[in-house]
Amino acid sequence: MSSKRDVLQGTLDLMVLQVLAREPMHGWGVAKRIEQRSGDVLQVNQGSIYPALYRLADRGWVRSRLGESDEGRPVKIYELTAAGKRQLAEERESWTALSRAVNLVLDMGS
Amino acid sequence: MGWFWRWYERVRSIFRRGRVEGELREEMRFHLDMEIRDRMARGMSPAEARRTAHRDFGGVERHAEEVRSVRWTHALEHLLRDVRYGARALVARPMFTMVVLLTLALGVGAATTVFSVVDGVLLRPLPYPESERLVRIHTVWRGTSSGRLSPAEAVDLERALSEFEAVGVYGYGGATLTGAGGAMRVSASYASAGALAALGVAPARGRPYTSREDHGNAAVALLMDGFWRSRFGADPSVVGRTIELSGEAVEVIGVMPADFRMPEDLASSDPTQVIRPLALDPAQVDMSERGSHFLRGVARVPERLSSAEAVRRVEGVAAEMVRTYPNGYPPEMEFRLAVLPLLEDVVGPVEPMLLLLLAAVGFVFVIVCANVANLLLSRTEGRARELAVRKAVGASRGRILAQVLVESLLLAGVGGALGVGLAFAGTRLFRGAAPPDLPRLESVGMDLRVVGFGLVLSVLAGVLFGLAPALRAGGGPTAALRDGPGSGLGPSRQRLKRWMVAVQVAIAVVLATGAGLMTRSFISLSRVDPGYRTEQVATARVSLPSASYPSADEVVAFHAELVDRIAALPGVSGAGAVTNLPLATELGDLGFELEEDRIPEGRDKPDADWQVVTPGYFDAMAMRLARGRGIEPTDRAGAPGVVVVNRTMGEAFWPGMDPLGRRIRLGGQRTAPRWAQVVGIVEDVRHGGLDETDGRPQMYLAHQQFRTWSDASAIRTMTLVAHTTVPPAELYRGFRETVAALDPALPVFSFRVMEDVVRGAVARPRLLTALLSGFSGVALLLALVGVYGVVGYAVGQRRREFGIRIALGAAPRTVSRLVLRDAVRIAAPGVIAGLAAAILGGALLESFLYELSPTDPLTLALTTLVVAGTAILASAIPAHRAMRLDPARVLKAE
Repeated sequence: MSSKRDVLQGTLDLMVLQVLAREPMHGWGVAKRIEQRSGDVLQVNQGSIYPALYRLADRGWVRSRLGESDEGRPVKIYELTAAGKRQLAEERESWTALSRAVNLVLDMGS
Repeated sequence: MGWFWRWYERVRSIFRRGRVEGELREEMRFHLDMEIRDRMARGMSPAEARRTAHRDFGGVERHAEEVRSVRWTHALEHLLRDVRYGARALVARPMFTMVVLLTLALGVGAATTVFSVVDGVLLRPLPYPESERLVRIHTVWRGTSSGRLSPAEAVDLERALSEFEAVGVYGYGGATLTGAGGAMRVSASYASAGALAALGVAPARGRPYTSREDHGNAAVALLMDGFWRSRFGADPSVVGRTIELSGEAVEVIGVMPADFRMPEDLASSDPTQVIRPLALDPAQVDMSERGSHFLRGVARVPERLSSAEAVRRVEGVAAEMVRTYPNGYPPEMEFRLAVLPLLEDVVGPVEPMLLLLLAAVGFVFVIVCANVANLLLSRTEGRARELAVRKAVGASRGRILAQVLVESLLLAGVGGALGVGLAFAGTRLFRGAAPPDLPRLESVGMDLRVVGFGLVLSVLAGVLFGLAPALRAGGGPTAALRDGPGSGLGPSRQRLKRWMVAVQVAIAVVLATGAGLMTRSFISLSRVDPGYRTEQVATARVSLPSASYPSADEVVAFHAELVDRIAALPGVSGAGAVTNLPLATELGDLGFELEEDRIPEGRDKPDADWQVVTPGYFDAMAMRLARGRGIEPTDRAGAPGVVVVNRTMGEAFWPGMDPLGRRIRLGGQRTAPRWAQVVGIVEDVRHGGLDETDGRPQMYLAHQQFRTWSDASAIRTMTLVAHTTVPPAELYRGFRETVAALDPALPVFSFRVMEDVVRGAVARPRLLTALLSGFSGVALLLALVGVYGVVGYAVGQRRREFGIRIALGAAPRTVSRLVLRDAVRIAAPGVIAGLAAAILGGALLESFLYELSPTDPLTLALTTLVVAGTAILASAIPAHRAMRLDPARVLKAE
């Protein structure tokens, strides 16, 4: 039984993986991209992007390297690994299944 | 490979916490800066931008903390905390902790000690460069599985195996060193230049001798390091100096390194002190004379040859020899050459014994682990409430499991370290108690690999016996909280403990059977009558150098006079001399021909083990003369040649006939044959070992009459034997003074009392018996503790039942019988399983036993009684306690 935080964590991880699947980028970039794409609906505490990134790196789905920002400032860049790609596909499936199931239940109501 | 980098990062983060933290903060700072800039770009004021950015980011510290926990340093801190907590818990229960630690230390210590022996003797490479390429070459023929090489065979080998890196032969002997420091006997090796080259160790000082010097019998010598230090005070100027060896002036051309040993020295208590050229000149060897097997062969196989090919080459040489010299190798002889790694040749004889010890100590270790596991399980039950509370307050199963495991590992670590410490003492004890001719005894010691083994073993043990209680601790806590402290074990846990005790009992039975068998076998072995006197006999060796006694007559006269004088000493009731003392030196074989020139059925050319004796030897050694007479003083050089044969020889070469009066012809092809008439038959003796049961033909020739046919000299080195009425050790001075009176420059060496010789001959069985008995004693003790623990616990559980029974009028004896029945129920399957295992595995012990079957019923019955008795004894106290239960008190406590 995962707590509410777990669900949120899991969802955040999924989104980060997806963002990085498109192109490698640094932490701030990922946070910004999520914000933009979700139409500013999802405004997670921006800082929580970092535990997510490090967690993903710890599990081997994402790796980090030293790169440069647009202005040439040294910054850590994250990119998806092969294992991460596989994990992304899996989590997308679970997420789709989960949301479909929840929807079915909700449709049953009032 | 990703996992590797993850672990790398983890380890890195532990060690460079500062830098990793810094990187993280840098990242977050960058993030905030970009965010602030972004907001300012959207129109906020700098202050507003900064405030909202920080607000939206969330607590930096909180995120940093989260990251840190992800990075697992958290886990390490947990670990450290667990260790501290575990240590405190262990210290709080000193009795428990001490018992566990002691048991563990005993187990790990014993196992590590035995491993140090196995490692030093069997596993470590020999002290020669690339020793895995060194091989022993020896002869094999019908009746002899491991024979030496003859000079002709050695020459053939060196010539034919030219593609080997080096091939050589060597032998052992002695010499007399005279000069400053007095005359002393030195142990010498006579090695061909090829043999030294094969071994591959160059002198630490000076140089080795060349093939040319070897063939030319150059007067050179190499000193062994130990001898150089003891006799020459480690004087560096000894190289180039001339010393007098057996009357010959010999130049010392080098000193060998300190750790160099000749191969047989690795298993000898009389190691080489001097190395001299073998002086086997191929040009002068009579190649048609194939006999005279006294040389040991060694070769270095080149890298590009596989071992199979090397074997093929050598076998090819043997086939060639048989083809070229059919007279020397008749087909019935089934002659061939065998090759085996030198290490195997050196340690092969003791390998079975050491492996048996390793297995036995392995069993003991299993018992130790079972005992500790049981103790820990009991403890876990005792903590059931504490763990339940922890779980109720939110500790995860994983954390609790980890914590209990850490405790077990802590115990294992400390216990293991203590055990390794014990092993240091154990190894030293072993080196003191082991027979000195145990191969490679000096390599036995605690080196890094052995210590590592001990530590790995303790960790393994910790995981093994820690897992069960840890897993149990993780599950089902609330029941304990609900039922209170007396609720105790779930049935599955109790069953596990009972099974473990049954296993302990089974192992104890196996070990006790082994120990019992070995003990009985050893006792019968020590009681064996070898055919000669073993007590009240003093022996010593004397060797006459050719320089002082050039002629055979002088040698013979000296020895005869010496024996007479020894016999006249006070305290001596008879004396004689012999070439090879039984149990002390090996016999060689000598070929001869029967007068009728016939070859008896089923044998090849006649040969027999030979001894040369003086009159008085048979009496001094109380050898039994079956018929005829022994060697007498009248059997002199000019008189008709005589020989005394043993019973086996008589029956082998004159089957169905009377050997007395028959004649045999001795001598090779180069000297005139000498005849010897059989004048007596003695009973067989056990010369090679007390357990020698296959009779070999032996003949005894008269010292006055025997001449070697290479140079017509008499035997110079003889072993004096004196039957004493006083304690034999007292004869030492008498021997020395008598010899000194005849020749002050002649050393007397190898003074040994026959009792000690016999004791040395059974030293290995004695060691094995002692160790197995020790192991089985420990096993029985641990099994006793195990049974006691389980039965005692069961009694505690059944207190209510017993109380009711007694209240209802049952006699106390009934209750104690119930307890005993329970004990039997626990132990019986163990005893049965153990007996089955002992019977099935008995065949493994067969080679160690002397005239005893491994499934000897008496021993098995005794073992069963002892182990069953131990189990019953273990349950005696709990049974007694059960008997004296006060029913009122028990029932009231409900």
